[in-house]
Amino acid sequence: MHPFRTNSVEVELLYREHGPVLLLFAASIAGDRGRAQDAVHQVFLRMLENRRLGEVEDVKAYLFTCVRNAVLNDHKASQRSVAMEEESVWFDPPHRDYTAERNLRRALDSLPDDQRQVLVLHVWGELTFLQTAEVLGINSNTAASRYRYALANLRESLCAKEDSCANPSR
Amino acid sequence: MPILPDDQFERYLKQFRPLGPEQLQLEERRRKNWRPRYIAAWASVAAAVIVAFLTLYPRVRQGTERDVQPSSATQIVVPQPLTIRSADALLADAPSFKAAVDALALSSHATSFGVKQSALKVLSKDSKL
Repeated sequence: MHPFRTNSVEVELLYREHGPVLLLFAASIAGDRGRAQDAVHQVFLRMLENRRLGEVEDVKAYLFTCVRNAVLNDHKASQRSVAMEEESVWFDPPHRDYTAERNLRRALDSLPDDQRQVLVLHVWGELTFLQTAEVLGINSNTAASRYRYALANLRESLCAKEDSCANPSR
Repeated sequence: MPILPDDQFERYLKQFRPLGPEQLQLEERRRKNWRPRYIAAWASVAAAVIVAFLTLYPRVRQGTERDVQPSSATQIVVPQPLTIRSADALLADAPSFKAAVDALALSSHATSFGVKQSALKVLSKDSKL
């Protein structure tokens, strides 16, 4: 991609397109939706100020990296450990099944941080393992391996919580 | 209960759509950026108007005062001291009664601060005529 000057319309489009997943990713690191939102806003507002995406090869992966850095910097400043909020809703669940939504959130919470991040990036962010590896600064094989563990752990956790396994026919 | 294969489980997870963040405050930001510039522009315009007014007003005022001086009154020569006869002559020469009265008023005002004259002297001069 050529260096280009971003205007506010382009930034708004990026925000509309990737905002929900970036927020989910930020919340999966921060554990707090308010902090996550602050981090996402910070990234986009900074983008508006600089008005340049420079020589960014992969804008989507770049956005995830920026959000992750923003959340981690905030965490370093606040010295807080990750503890997920119980009240806030992160997903729009199928068939308005908010029990399933809460169970999914809790299952995600039970995953180790590195697995949760890989899972969010791959499933909802729709990043390849190569892109995921780039965002997290790890090897793509490591990303794939973490993903497999994450999926297995999540499935197990959901089965235990719902006393049944996730059934797509619901 | 069947344990879903990975691809089906992924599809199941994707049915949960992440909720969007709150609106990015671009409008407010634009307004914030725009407001100081707007205020500064108006302030500079106001300052320019005030400077122009202060510079030009004394000149305009001087010019107006010069224009306002009653031409008809200045053209009429009021004899000093004013006597009944000279007043008759003044009224006859004046373009209008008002102009004559204005001239008299100015003249009396001028003389009141001018050289003092004896009223008896003036009246005796008038009676001689």
